[in-house]
Amino acid sequence: MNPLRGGWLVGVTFFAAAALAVAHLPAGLPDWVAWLRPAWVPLVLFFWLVERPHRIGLISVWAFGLLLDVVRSEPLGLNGFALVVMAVLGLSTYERLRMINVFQQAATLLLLVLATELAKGIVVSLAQGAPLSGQFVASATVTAVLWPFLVGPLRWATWRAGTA
Amino acid sequence: MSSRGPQRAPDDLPNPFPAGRRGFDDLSAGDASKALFRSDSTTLYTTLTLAAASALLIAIEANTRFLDPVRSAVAILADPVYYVAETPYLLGNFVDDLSNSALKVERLEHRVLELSLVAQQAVATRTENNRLRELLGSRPQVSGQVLVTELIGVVPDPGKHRVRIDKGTADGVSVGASVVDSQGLFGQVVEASRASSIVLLITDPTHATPIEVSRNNLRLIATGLGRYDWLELEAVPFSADIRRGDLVVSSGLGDRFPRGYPVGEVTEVEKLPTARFATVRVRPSAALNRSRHVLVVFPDAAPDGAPDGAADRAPGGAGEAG
Repeated sequence: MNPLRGGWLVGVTFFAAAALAVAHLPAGLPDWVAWLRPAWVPLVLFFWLVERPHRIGLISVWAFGLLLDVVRSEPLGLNGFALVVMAVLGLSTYERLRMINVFQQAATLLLLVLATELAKGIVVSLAQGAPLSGQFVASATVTAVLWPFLVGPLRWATWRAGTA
Repeated sequence: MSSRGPQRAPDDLPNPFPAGRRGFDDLSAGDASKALFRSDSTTLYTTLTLAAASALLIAIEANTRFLDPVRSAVAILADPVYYVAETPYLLGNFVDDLSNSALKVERLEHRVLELSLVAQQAVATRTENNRLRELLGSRPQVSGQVLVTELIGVVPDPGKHRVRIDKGTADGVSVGASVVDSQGLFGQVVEASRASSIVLLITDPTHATPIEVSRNNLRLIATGLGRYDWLELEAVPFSADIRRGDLVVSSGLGDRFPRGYPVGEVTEVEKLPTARFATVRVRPSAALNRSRHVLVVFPDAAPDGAPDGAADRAPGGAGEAG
């Protein structure tokens, strides 16, 4: 990542995604609101995969996954694995991802988040014996619904920062 | 729709895969042999290596504690994430403090007066209690040292009841330390890094607390269900003397929690003829999803009056561990 070519924005968006992923909800909201928390990090990763795929390196993504593991108190290596799978799929299809419209992109994002979260759930249940929960379906849906609204502002920020 | 926005044309971009990759042009030229997921060998090997590394880390962590230092090291980078996420709340508290400080100070002064009265009585009671215990031949009880900490984040998974606090090994917090809030037992420290730690709440589905009913010292186990307003008592026989309104306190068995901290109040006792055990529900005393300040009670608490810098470590005063 070269900061002089607007690469700082990539770092800032990933950091912001990690912070949003742990930001706690205002007191007084019902418990089920927590289940709707979007998968911010996969969303940001997907944005960069579509817009500037050459900015995404697999090793950096994996290392960022380690940070996320600690932040989310999950087994080390889990998020790295999920993000790398998503990055590889995205990098191998990014030309197509750019050509489809924003709703088709949202559907792709939904599938990617569902697949990686399911994989994560299976790994956790194998490693720790925790029961597999279906909460990721709600979260993945919210993520896909947010995509059309967030892609515009993010693209604008990319343009302003001159991220090449 | 996707063609809107600046710099959309693929031609604007440098080719991210200069060697050995086919681009979009091949597809439009009708290359029928194009695979769905292309990958050159470097990408493939990197992916496999990273996946293997992940699998190794997960396997090691599932079976041993070798990776705890790694986790603590990464936590140094992870703490800023929590602090940034908490900024709105910290700012809100700051503004709140500024605007209500006079009122708050007055209220707190009254509270201090009330509590110092209680503390005076407690000193007398404790002395008497220890004398009686000596007569019975049992060990005198000890006061725990406590450390006031502030919550800096909540682990976002709704199925996990874990919070992050702003004190770590540098302040003497270690894995296994009990955590209480102003109203009762809160949880225990399960991960400690240099400047922050993770506390597992008593309501986490993986947590069980050894308790006793304060009315008759009936010993039981309270397990979490992943709900902030509920604990359930395990294996309660139908004949057990337990009823609605009973206060449940930590029993100190299992050498994890100190004895006598309030855990909760029995809200429901259900004895279904078809069930093997009675279903007993307890409402936790601690404000598990509201407390911002919690106290870490050190497990190796020194006996009363031991001169080991209790004042430095315990700005909140000594708690009663017994």
